[in-house]
Amino acid sequence: MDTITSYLSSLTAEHYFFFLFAIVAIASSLEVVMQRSPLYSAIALVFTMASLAANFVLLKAQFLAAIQIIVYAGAIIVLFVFVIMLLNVRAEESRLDRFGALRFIAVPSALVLFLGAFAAIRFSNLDTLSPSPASAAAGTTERIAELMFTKYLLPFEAASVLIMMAIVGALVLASRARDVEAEMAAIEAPAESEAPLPEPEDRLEEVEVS
Amino acid sequence: MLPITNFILLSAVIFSIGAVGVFFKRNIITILLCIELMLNAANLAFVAFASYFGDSTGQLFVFIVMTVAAAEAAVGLGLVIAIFRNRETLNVDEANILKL
Amino acid sequence: MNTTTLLGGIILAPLVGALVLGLFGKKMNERTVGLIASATVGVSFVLAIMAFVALLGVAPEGAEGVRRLHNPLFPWIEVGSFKAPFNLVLDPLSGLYVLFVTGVGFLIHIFATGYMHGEGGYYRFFCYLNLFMFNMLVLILGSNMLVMFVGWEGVGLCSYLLIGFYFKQQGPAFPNQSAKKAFIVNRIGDVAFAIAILLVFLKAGSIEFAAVNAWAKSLTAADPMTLAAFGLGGASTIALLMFIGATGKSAQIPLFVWLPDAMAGPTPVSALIHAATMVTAGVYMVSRTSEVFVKAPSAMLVVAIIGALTALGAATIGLAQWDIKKVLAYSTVSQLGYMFLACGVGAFGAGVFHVMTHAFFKALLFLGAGSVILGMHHEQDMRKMGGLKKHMPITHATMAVAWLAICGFPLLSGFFSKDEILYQAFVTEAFGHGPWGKILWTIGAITAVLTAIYMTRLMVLTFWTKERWHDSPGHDDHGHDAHAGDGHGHHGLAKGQMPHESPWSMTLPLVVLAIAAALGGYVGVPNGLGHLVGIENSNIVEHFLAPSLAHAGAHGAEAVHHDASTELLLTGLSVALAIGGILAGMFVFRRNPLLKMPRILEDKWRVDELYEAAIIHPLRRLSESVLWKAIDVRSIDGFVNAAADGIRGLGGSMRHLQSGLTRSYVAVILLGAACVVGYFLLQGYVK
Repeated sequence: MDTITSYLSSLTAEHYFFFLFAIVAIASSLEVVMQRSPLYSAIALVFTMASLAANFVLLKAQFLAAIQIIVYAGAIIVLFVFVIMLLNVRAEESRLDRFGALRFIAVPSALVLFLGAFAAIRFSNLDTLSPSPASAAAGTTERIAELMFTKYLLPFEAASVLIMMAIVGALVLASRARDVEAEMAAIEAPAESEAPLPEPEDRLEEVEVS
Repeated sequence: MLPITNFILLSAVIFSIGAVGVFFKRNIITILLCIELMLNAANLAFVAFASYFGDSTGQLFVFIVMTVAAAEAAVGLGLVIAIFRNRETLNVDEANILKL
Repeated sequence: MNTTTLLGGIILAPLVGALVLGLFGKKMNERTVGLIASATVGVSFVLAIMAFVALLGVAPEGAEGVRRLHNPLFPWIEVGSFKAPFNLVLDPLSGLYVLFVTGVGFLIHIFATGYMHGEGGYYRFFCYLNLFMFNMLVLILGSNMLVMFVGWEGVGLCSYLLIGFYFKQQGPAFPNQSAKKAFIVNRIGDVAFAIAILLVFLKAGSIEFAAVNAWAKSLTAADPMTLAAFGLGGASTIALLMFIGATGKSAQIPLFVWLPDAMAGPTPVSALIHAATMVTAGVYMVSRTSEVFVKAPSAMLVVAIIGALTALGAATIGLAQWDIKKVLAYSTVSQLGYMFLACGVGAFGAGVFHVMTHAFFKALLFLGAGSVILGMHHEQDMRKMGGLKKHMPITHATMAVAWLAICGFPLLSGFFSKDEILYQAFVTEAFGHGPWGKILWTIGAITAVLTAIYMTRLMVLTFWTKERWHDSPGHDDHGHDAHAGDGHGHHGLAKGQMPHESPWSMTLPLVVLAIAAALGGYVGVPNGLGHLVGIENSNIVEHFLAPSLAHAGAHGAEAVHHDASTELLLTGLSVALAIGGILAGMFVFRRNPLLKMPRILEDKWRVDELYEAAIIHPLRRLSESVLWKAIDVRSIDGFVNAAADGIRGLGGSMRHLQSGLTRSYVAVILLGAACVVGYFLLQGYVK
């Protein structure tokens, strides 16, 4: 009992905030997986991202926290939701698909991955790592911009090229396969609109007035 | 500040949930969402280490990861639309004609 | 113009010609093609004269006092201490070569514009011919052995292309086959040459000719004159390997068999490549590295003996051939033998001098033969000629000059050079005091007589006896003559047709060459003869060449006039032999032009058959039964097929992993990631 009270008394506001957002993040990410409807999964993911953004703030990465909300939650998830709505995706029959014998490979593997990470944390001396004094300034927009436009200019440019290619690729993939030859023929052939307009009399419609 | 282990452990948990989700879900869109989940988990680890080492490079890398994620989402959703248009389904198990 | 870039210009002009003709020649008319081809070589000739004049003006370098004109082009291969820059250098030896190669080449190009008139592939012919000139000049001007090797292989390639110029003719002994034979036989020599280059680099540490000669000169003692000297890896081995290379290119025993067959090419090619220039590359190579040779008396003896035997053997075969070009081909082999005889006895200057005079009179003979062949509508069989003197006066007159020159008739060019060689052989001390010099002289003298006889036979059969144009040879047992046509379905004169003199573009080179063949010898009058008429050191050529050549034995070219009486005696003897040979030939063949020769000579000593039985047939059997059926089909193909089958089997079993189910892939990815993490966990645990 004493240990618990002493532990509780040692907690600071940071701890409480971390636990709050950690629980929200885990719970919402579980929801992402467990929801049957993709739309609800996407909404749950917004919560995960928002709580992760809060964690970024705790880590003094203010710029990334903002970006996380704006780009991820604001743009990417909206894109997902847009597509889900566009395709009118139905909910699945079951939450999780029991997928034959392969789950006996997949689930233990995922467990091993988690345990590996856990063991790495537990048995390393990461606990003793104290925050660097420079960390306070590490997350400012200024520092990131400075790095981005000097030392990492080339990766930055490469990322922009990648984005552009992705836009073109998405356009090509998502656009309806068109019959180019037919379109060309339509352009070259005299359009039907050049047919003579109907005579004014023909355009009149007799309406019976009672 | 909190010990860094807290953040890394949170990252590991979310990553594992995402990985399991990728395996167990059948809907392509949900799978893509789970991949985003894993990417976010990785981002958290990056930011944590970047803060504790006082080195902004990790944060810049997160920025690049977000860019790639955006590109991936755009192309991935483009593929989703193309598949849906052709097969009227989003079930990955039915998109299996690329086998022998 | 800057003299240092002259040499680059000399080799560049024909290259430009070859490129232009090769790329755009198809669209040009014959006139333009001929003009470009001749003009580029003409430019080379002019530049060569300018370079030669410039060479006379430069100060001698080094202890030997060699005048050199350097033209470094670009660094080519540099690996560690091995350096092979693409540099050109002109010294007296290469200067002389460049002059007569470009000069004779220019004349032959002009001749060819007339000779090849109306042939298919006109531009192709001149493209190859220009390319040949480029390679030959690279061979001559290269400052190191590797650049020379480039030219060496290049002329071999052009020789192949030009021998096979009429590649559309089919059959067992047609141009295709001849071209391949020439190429393959040359390869044997080239391999030896390549090995020699490697060995030179190992021993001398450089492949620059100047450095190689300096190295050879610095060797304290010559290799002992024994058979064992060849095993020592010293000068003897290098010299012998280089000589093997020379036997390939210059058609000496045992690799001479390709040259007579090379006559399947157009006649200007035979004149340029297979008489005047390329085949003398071997002599040039031996002279270029003469310091190495003089340190290897055993190799020198081999060179001299091979040269003498080739001269004699080829002359005997030449006696019995009916095809006019074949006679000249064997004559060329024989004369090349003389040149190697000269090199072998240490008289490199005399050898090079003979190369020069031979270039004049043999090119003239071949061009004359070409003129005759054209006049006879592509008939090469001398049994169907005769009486052409009346119809082709210019050809006849010029060829008569060449005939007398090659026979060694007094005061013509061949007389001076051949006389010098025979004298040097007689007095040589390159192999110490022994009977070798006398033996070699005897062989040379016999060859001189035979030369006079077969050349007289050629003249008699072609020009002087009664006309036999429409005769058919009663005994057509010469399979090799059946393909003598120069690329035409029909050849020979039809009934009522008359032979005609060739156009000026062909006769003009003949006249120029005739003047050169008559007077070209006066730059190298042997010292003994010069002494007789009161001119000391009249042998200008040898005096000029002396700095760039080695001196064998106690005697050099300078010491000649000590033996003036011997020399005069020998000169008198060779004049007697030459005139005797001519008279004997006249006597015999005017009476009976179609005199049947011993069968063994007509069959060329059956060397081809011997090679066929001793080398080619066993090699073919070996290739077929062992290399092909056992090694290639069973071992190599078996291994390759087994590997392919194994991979396919593996792939067949692996493809079941490709289920098409995306989520199974996910499971495998997770498993893989888990394995990697698990490995590191385990490693940490073990630690």
